[in-house]
Parts: sequence; C-alpha cells; structure tokens
Amino acid sequence: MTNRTTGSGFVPPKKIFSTLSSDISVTSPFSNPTLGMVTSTSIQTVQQGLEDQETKVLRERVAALRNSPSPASLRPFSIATNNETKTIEERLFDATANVKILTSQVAMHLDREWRERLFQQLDSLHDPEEWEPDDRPIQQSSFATFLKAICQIRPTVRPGLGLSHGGQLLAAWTSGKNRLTIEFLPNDRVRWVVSRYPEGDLEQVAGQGAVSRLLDSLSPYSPEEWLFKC
Amino acid sequence: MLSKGQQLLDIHHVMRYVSWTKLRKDGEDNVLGFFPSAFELRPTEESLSVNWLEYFSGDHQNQVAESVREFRRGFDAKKKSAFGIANVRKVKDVFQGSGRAVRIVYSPSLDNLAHASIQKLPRDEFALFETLATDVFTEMVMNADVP
Amino acid sequence: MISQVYKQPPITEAVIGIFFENQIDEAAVSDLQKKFTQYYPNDQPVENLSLKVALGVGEDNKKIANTDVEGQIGHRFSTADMTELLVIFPKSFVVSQLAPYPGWDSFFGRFVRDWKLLKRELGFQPIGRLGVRYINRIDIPCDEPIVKHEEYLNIYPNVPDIFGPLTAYAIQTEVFMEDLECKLIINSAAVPSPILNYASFVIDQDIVRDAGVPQKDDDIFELIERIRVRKNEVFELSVTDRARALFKHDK
Repeated sequence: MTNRTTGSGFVPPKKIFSTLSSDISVTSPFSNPTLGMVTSTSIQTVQQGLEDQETKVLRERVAALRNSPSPASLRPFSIATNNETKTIEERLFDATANVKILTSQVAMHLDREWRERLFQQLDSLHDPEEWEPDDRPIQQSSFATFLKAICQIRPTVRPGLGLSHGGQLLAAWTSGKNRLTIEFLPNDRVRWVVSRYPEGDLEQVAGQGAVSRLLDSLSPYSPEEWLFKC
Repeated sequence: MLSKGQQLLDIHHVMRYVSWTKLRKDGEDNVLGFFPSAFELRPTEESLSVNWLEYFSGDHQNQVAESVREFRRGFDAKKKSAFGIANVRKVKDVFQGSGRAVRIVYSPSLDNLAHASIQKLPRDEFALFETLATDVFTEMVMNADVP
Repeated sequence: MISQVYKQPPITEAVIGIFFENQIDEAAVSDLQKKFTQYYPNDQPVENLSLKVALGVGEDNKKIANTDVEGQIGHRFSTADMTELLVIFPKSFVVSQLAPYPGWDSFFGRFVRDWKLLKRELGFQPIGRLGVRYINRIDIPCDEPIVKHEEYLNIYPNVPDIFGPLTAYAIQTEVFMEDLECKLIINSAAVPSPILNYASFVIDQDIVRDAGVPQKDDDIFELIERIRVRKNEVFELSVTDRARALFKHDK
C-alpha cells in the first residue's frame, strides 16, 4: 500500500538567503550571476578511455537534468576577469542592468509608475558624468534588501536615493526638518536613523537589524509621517 | 595663519566636497542636504579631507567661493556636486559627546593649499555621521552656483 | 480550457528560443547589433560557461582530473528598463521578456519582429531546436508557520505525511507530447523568496521540439502559437484556484 500524503505543508527557511545561493538546481530569482558563479551547470564527466553505451546514456540523462540559464541570468562577459579594466560606463551599466533585472523579479508586487521612476533615480545616481572613480556602483545584495523593504512597506512617498562609498543603497525620507535615513546592507540587514525636532531640539534614534523587523522598529517613531501621503 | 600640522581653531570653518550620490534628495531628485555617507571614511582613508575656509581672506561669501575654486584646482569637481560647510567646534562636539576626540588639522598639499584633515574619525558610526549631515554641515553650496 | 488573463501574472521570465544547426558568423552578429539598436539601445556581451571534467588514471596509476571550461560569448540586447531582452549566441536566437509581463500579443509580436529582422540580415539558417519557456514564481503569503503549498500547487514532491513539512525541494519532470511532437520539461522548486513574509515556488516549464523542427516562418509561428496554448493549459493544471486568486488582484 502506498503512503499517500495529504500534504504536510512547507516550512519557509528561517535562515537568511543571501544572493550568493549556490546550491540550486533550478533558477533562483535572486542568484547573482555577476558574482563569479558559473551560471550554466553543464557538467560532463567523462571517464577517460572507455565509455560504454550505458555510461553514455546515464551521462546524457544527468546532463538533461540541468536547468539552462535563462537570458536574464546570463553573466556579463568581460575580457578582464575583474571589473578594474572595464570602463566606468561599462561598470555602471552592468550594475544598473543587474539591479533592474533584480527588480523585474518583484515587478508583480510593484506599481509600474513607481518602478519606472525608481529606474530613473538609479540611472541618475550612476550618471558617468557625475561618477567618482573611487566609488563602487550599487551592489545587488544591498538592492535586494531594499526591494524587500519596499515591497513590504509600500511607501506612497518616494524616497530620495544615495549611495555609500561601497555601493550600499541609502534611502531618505524628509518631512520638514524631520528625517528618516535607511542604509540597505547585504544579507537582509538595514541600519537606520530617525532625526526629529520636537520643541526645536534634535532627538535622534538609531537602529540596526534585519529588514524584516524594520517596520516594527520604526513604529514608535511615527514612520507614516514620512512614508505615506496624507 | 596656521602652520602645517596645527589644529584649526574652534571658531574656524571647514568645507567638505560632496558628490551627487551622497547628496540627500527628495523623490524627484531635488537636493535637500547630505547623506551620512558624505562624511564616512573610505577603507583606504585615514582622515577626512576638507578645506579650511579661513585660509582665504575676505568675507564669508568670498572665502566660500575661493575654497570651491581651490578644490577645483586639485580635482574634477562634478557639475551636480555640492559643498558642505561646518563650524569646527560643532564638528568636534558631535564626537566628544560620545567620548571621541577628533582633531581637525591644517594639512596643505601642492594641489590644495587650504587642505585640512579631520583625524581620528570613527569608521562605523552611522548615527553620528547623520548628525554631521543634519545638524553640523548646515550650509550647502552647489558647485554649479560658484563661477 | 479557457486561458486566464491575470492582473498580476506570476511570470518572471518568458522565453522563445531558436537554436541553429550551424554557427552564425561573429562578424554577422556584430552587423546585427547595428540593426537591433533601434529597438534595444543596450548591448552587453554575455557568456555561457560549461565545465568538462575528465577523470581517469594516469601512467603511474595516479588518479587524475582534468577540467576544461568552455565559454560561449554572446550578445544580450536590452531596453533601458531591462525587461525586453534579445540574446544572440553563435548558435541561438532567444527573445526574452521579464516581468511585468505585457501579454502574449506584445511578447510574440516582438519575437516575430526580431526574427524577421534576423532573417533579413542573415538569410535562411537551418533550425535544430525550438522552444518556449515560461518561468513562473508563485508567492504564497506566510500567514501561518507552515505554508500549505499543496493548496496552491499541483506539482510538488509526494512524500509520506509522517516525514513532516518540507523545508526545501526541487523536482524535474519530462513528458513527451505526441500531438505537438514536443518535450515538456517542468522544473519546480521552493526558492528563496525575494519578498518578506512569503514562501516562493517556481514552476518553470520548457516546451521544446528538437526533431522535425519547422523551417518556414509560417510553420514556426504556428507551432509557437500551439505551444503557447499548451503552455497555458499546463500552467492552469499546475496551480489551484487558491493560487489563481493570488494573481487576479491588484496589490
């Protein structure tokens, strides 16, 4: 008699998935082909010398199990093995292209106009004419954290965007003198500062933690004042 | 006039170059101020580069303009960049409050005679840099506004 | 089966791929770039790597392993927002659409446009393989500690209840569809969710013909249209009404 499951369900992993997940056999939306991974897993293991028909069939079947990379997940090619000999324009294009592709993975959860304006802001940040050569362009891992925050919070007020030297994305909401500044770090981490002026004196609160806790952490400080239009 | 290596006086002012990516903006890219990252050290830096405003003569407006031009002598200041100006005492107060004693030292170079360094700056104090951005570098001049 | 039109289709990428018998000349591909610029302002070289490992025993009975990485360089043409892609490798022509999915008419229309342009420039190229691939990601809200994916999906591993809830899975199935003379390959897996408080599951279906591939444009287009109908049927069979409710509503 076959034990037939009525369905025991699925437990989402508590572990934070970084964008460097390498143990996938199917396309992971947040796998990062630009961080040095071989995207095609075409692996042929040939026994040197004799390969009988049975082995050949097995090898072909194993090869057929691989999932070919989709066009969006192909890795940009450079003659150089690192970014340093790419032109600034190429580096900036690669960086913005990658985060736009990343955005497409959650496009079904974003307002179209919001997404289009976000891309304009990203392009503006990566304008080659304004770029400082020692800076790093936007890092995918930081942007992935930003997307998680935005998809959850769904702010109706668009933030101003900036970058740290290391390519971490910064988002700022400003209401008069009051400010909310958030830096999006890799591995779903954020750090934030709230600056307010009740009765004219600066009152500042700062925090750091998982992006999943961001809204809860901000809740005592009336984040709706910045994030949502009245 | 200070000698090289001397600390700036509390009544003096410093000017910091801030590139477009580190300018605080609203959702429509209107510039509002500075991000904390404008005052963070790069991994390869030991001190934060600024200009000493009182190196230049004349009134404040003239000092600001001359300082911007001195920056431009040394590097390519981008069109959409800006400069933040702060009082030396206020800069020190931000860090003294958390038990750190920064030094702001006159350190001229061949391509910038007004150069000064903010030394002993901590590396990972997001909130303190936000205070610098919000409450200390309160005067802003856009590069495009200085001929 | 009626094809559903969803407000928020879970499609993350749609692909129509044509694979040639022979390699396209690199110079010809470079010429193509100039022609496609009008539709795709960006051109990014991309690579597709494959790794060969040869195992054996050497002269002195020592075990040896030789590795060889082969790379194919291609061009990925794209629009400014990176949602419309065209990838040309020496032996393939692939049109891709990322989310938000604009609908079949728009996507297929772009494929026809680009294919005709390629043919005008390169002339007839014998085709060895043709495929349509749709990668869907079903995002299920984590309202409870255990997500009942079985209530949303019809493709998942069937394991005894006594094992308890799954924490990861990946499966691949392959079916030959006689009427279409095509292979259907479905990959389904739990994947890291890109959004908070959701569990995400990919249903990646690839319908491929690699024998008796039509060579004339009208036949190619007709086959793709038939594949599309089947693709929709497969998708609808792969999800439940509960999943459909997730795609129907503006978020």
